[in-house]
Amino acid sequence: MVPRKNQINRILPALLLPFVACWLQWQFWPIFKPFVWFLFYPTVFFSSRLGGKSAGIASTVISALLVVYFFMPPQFSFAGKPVNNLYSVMVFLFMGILFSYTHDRLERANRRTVEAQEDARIANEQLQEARIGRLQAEQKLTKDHLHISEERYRSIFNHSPIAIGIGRRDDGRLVEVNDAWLQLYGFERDEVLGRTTSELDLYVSAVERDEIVAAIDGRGHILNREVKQRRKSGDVIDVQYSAEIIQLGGEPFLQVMVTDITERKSAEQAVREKNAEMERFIYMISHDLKSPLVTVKTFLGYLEQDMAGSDAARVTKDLDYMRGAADRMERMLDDLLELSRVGRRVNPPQACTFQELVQSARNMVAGRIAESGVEVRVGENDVPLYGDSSRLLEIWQNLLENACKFMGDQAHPMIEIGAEGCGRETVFFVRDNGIGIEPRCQEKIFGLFEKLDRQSEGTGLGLALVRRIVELNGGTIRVESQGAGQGSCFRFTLPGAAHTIVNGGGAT
Amino acid sequence: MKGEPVTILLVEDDPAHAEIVQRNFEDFRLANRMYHVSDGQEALDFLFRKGEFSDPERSPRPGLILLDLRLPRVEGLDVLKIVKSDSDLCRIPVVVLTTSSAEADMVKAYNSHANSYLVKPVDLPQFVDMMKTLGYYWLTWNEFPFH
Repeated sequence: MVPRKNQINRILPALLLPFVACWLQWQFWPIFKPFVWFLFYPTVFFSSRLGGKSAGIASTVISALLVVYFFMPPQFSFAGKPVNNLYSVMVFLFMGILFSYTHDRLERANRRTVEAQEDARIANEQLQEARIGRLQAEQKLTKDHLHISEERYRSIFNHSPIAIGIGRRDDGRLVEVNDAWLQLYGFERDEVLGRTTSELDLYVSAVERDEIVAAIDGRGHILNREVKQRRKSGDVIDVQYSAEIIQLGGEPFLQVMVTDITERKSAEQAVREKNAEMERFIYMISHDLKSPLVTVKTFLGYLEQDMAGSDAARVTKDLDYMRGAADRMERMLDDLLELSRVGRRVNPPQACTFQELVQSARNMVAGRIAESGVEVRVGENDVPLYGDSSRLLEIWQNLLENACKFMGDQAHPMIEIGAEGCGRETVFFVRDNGIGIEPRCQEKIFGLFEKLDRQSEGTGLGLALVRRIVELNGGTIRVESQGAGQGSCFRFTLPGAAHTIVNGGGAT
Repeated sequence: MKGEPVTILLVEDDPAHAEIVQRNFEDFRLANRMYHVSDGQEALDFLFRKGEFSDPERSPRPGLILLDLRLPRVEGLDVLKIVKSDSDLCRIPVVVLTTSSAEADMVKAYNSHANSYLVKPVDLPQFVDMMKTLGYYWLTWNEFPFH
């Protein structure tokens, strides 16, 4: 073991100790005499305790020499000492060496204990450091994750196409809404934060609102509930509403997600209406087509009987009924085909005017107008139109024909054609002073194969065709008449053919 | 059987179908007076004795009405409703005779208190059979209150 500095500091006093003891014993020799070893046993004990093995042995040897020289008679000489005194020297040396070895062992054991303790302390410290490091790393990781998930949530919240609003659970005041929410309801952010949906008047029906509140109170959430709400502008919208209670910083909030389904709803409604119309149409057609079939088959049976009975007059009659029914069926099928063609746009849309179309229609019905001596008056104003002009023309052509046909015994038959208003709102009219239509028949006349008068020619296609063309142009048609003999006035709109829309939306 | 023959009002817009019904009733020698009108408005005029039917001689009170549903001017169903809501006419049995076998038509007819609903058969033998049964049931066996 290499002596360290503190060891040298301890060896020197250890070696000095015998001299100090020698000097002290010399001063008080008359008291200690004849106990020559009196102070030296303690001296070597402390020297070996202080300086270790080597210093202890050195101190022992020095002490022995000092005692032999200064205190054993004859004094101040190493020679001529009695033999029994030499025994005491040998005992002293032995004791001194024993002290030294014992103390050395003790010291080493001590040191080892201290070192072991130190090692243990260091190890412990390292362990602690490692643990803290890991903990810190873990905390950082968690924090990072938290940060990332928070970022992610914020991103979803901000950029979601679904309107999201978060309100306090206790008083219902909104604390956060995203852009989609603002866009849906048409508010600015500072108009809504801190206010409740009741204050913003979002609900159309208080009953619906209460039902939603009850559902959330009951189950803690509500999913895809369809409800009517109101925008800031007052427009009513259909929305799909979901909400759930969430905890933010230990406080309960209501997170609401809303999707606008107004368009879907109206599309659904349109499809339902179209389906219902289609159903009515198919029912009517099948009924109307079945009627001549009954005639043909039944008279076929009669024909067999009448031919067997050789009743020539009845045979002719049977054949006439069958021919009539077959002809009617053919006309109906032709009409159906004609009506179905209207829906398919054959001609590209083009610019035309109300006056041009009326003039063409008049030319086409000219023979009939002259024959029945009808005076036709056309209004002054003109309306630009954009659409399938040959189809639009058919509206006036059919209405003119219709008016001529049902003029009755009018002394001064007259038809007035005109347009009122402008743009998409323009109302066109064709008025006559003919036989008129009773109120209860005013809707019926637009049905396919509907005829108010069995004797009149045609199958009843004309007005059905007119209505179809008007509806394809986004318009409506109705007839006004005070009743029989009061004349009638057909009024219709053609918003789809208004020239203000130049993008070709014409005849769709 | 009653001493007085029953008058039948046939409301049918298709002359061929009217002919079929009339032929059947002739064939079975059911000595009844059949009046034929060809649309809903005429039927109401006949029943309420208006217009060209204002003369009671020309418009006797029928004991049975055979009514088609799809009619010009006034629909058969409307005629039915008007007849059944009239305190006097409502006791006249109305048999709907139509080509329509649509469920909705039947429901509407019975809801408006039609007494029977018959779908015109497409074959002559069936048509004859139906008319025969109809004749016997309503004109022979069925009892009518006179007033």
